[in-house]
Amino acid sequence: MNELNAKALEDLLIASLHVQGLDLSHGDRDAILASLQGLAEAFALLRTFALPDELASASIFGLAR
Amino acid sequence: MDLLNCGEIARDVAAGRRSAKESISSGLQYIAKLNPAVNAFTDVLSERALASAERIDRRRAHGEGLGPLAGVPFAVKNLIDVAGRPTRAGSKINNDRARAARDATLVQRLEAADAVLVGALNMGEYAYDFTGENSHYGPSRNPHDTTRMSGGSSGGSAAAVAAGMVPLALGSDTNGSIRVPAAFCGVFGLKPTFGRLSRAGSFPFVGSLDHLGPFARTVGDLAAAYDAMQGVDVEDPAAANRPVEKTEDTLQLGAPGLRMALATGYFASGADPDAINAAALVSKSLGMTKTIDIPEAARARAAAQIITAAEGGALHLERLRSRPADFDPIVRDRLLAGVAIPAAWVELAHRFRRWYRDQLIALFNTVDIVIAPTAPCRAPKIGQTTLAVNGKTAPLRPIIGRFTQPISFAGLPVAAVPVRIDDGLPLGVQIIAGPWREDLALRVAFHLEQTGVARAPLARIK
Repeated sequence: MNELNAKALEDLLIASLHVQGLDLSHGDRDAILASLQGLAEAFALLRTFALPDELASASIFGLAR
Repeated sequence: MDLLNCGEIARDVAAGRRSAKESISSGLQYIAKLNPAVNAFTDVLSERALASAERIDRRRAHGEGLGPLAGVPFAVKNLIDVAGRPTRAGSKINNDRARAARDATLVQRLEAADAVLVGALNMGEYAYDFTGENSHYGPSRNPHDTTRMSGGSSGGSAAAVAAGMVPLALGSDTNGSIRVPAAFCGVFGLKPTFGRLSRAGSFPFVGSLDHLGPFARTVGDLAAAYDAMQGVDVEDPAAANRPVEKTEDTLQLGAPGLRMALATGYFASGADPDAINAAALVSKSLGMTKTIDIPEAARARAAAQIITAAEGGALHLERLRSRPADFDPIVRDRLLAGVAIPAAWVELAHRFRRWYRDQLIALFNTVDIVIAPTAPCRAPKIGQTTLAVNGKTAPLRPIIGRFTQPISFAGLPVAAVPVRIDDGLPLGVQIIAGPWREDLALRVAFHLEQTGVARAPLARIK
C-alpha cells in the first residue's frame, strides 16, 4: 500500500465512521487502519477478476437451495 | 473414571448397565476436575443436567424406549441459546441482553434424542477469531499442550471433546471455526452444507456464512449427532427444505468406489510443510492418484474476508457506537474496519461468490471428494501473533483460515479429521464433498478412522 493509498484509506475510514456516528476514538486507529488495508488488498485482488455483468449475487437462499 | 464415547454411553444406558444419572454425574465431576486447566466451559449446568438425567432414568424404569443418544453429556458453544441463560457469544456485552427464552433448535433436537446438556463453552468474542483467545473469559487451552491455542472460534468446544470433558459438543463455523479447532485439538468435526442444520436460537456472526455443527472423538458419534439434528426448521430463514438424510448407517460403506482428488496449487502452498504433508498422507492412504485445482481459491478467501467484515461490522454497529470499550480490542478494531468499507466491495464479493459456487458445483460433478489441509500449522502458542511460512513472517490470525475459508465460502460440507504424522501435536485434514453429501465426507472420515490414519486419542493433560 503506497502512501497515497494509505492516506485515501484513512480519509475513507474517517468519513465512513463519521456518517455512522463513530470516529477513530472508538478503537485503535492503527489497528483499524491495518484491518482496512487488509480488506483493501482483498478487494484489489477481487476487482481484477472479470465477472459478467449479468451475474447476480448468490443470496443465502440461493446457496441453501 | 471411564471416558466412553457417545455410542458406548447410549448403549449402556439403554441396557441398564449404567444410569443416565451416573453418566452425567461422572461427566460433571470430570469437568470440574479439568476445567481449571483447559478453561473450556464458561457455564456448567449441573442442576439442569442431573434433572434431565433423572427423567431419562424414570422413563427407562417405566419401560419406555430411549433415544439414540441416551444419557450422553454434551455442551454447546456459548453463542447457542440455553433457556434461562445469557447467550454470551464470547462477549461481555451480551451478558446484559435478555436471557434466552428457550433452547436453540439443535439443543432441542439433541435432547429429543435423550442427550443431556451439561454446559456452555468458551469461544472467541462474537466468533471473529481463529485462536480460541478471549480477553473477557481467558483463552480456552489446547488439552494436548495447555500453553497452546485451542483454535477458534469454537475453541472451548474442541478442547472439551479432546480432553474428554464431554464426548460431544456443538460449535459454529463461519470461515473455519469448527474445522480449525478440530485440527488444533485433534478431534473430529463436521461443518455441514450451508443451510443443512438450523441456526435458530444462535447468536449470528455473518448470516450468509454461518453454519452450526458437531465435534466428537469418533466418526460414529459425529454421524449420530448430525443425524439427530437434521430437519427442516422454519425459524432459520437460511435452513434448506431438505429431508433428513441419515448417515450413520452408511459409514461402513467407507471410501471404496468414490472418485477422490487431492487439492493442489493454492492448497499445497503457503503453509508449514507438515500441514500439507498430512493431506498428502491421507491421499496416499486412500490410494488416490488424482489431483485437482480448486479455481480462484485465493479470491474466494478475499471475498469471504470482505463479506465477513461487512456483515459482522453491520451487525455490531450499535454496540460499536455505544460500548466500544467493552469489546475485545482485537475484535472491535476489525469490526470498525468492516463498518467502513464501501458497498461496492461487498456486492462484488457476493457476485464473485455466485461465480465461485457454480465452479465448485461443476467440479463436484467430476469428483465425489476433495482432500485438503485444514490449518496451515499445528496449534501455535497462546499469545503468538506471527507465523513463519517459507521463510517469511506473516500475521498469524488471518493466515489460519487460509485453507478453510475458500471451502465454507461455497457452503460445501466438510468432515474435519485429525491426523498425526509424528509424535508432535495433531494436524487436520478436510474431507470435502459436494453440496448435501455429508454422507460421503463422513464415509471417508470413517474409513480413515478404521484404518488408523485419522484418530482422536484423549489428550493427557499435564
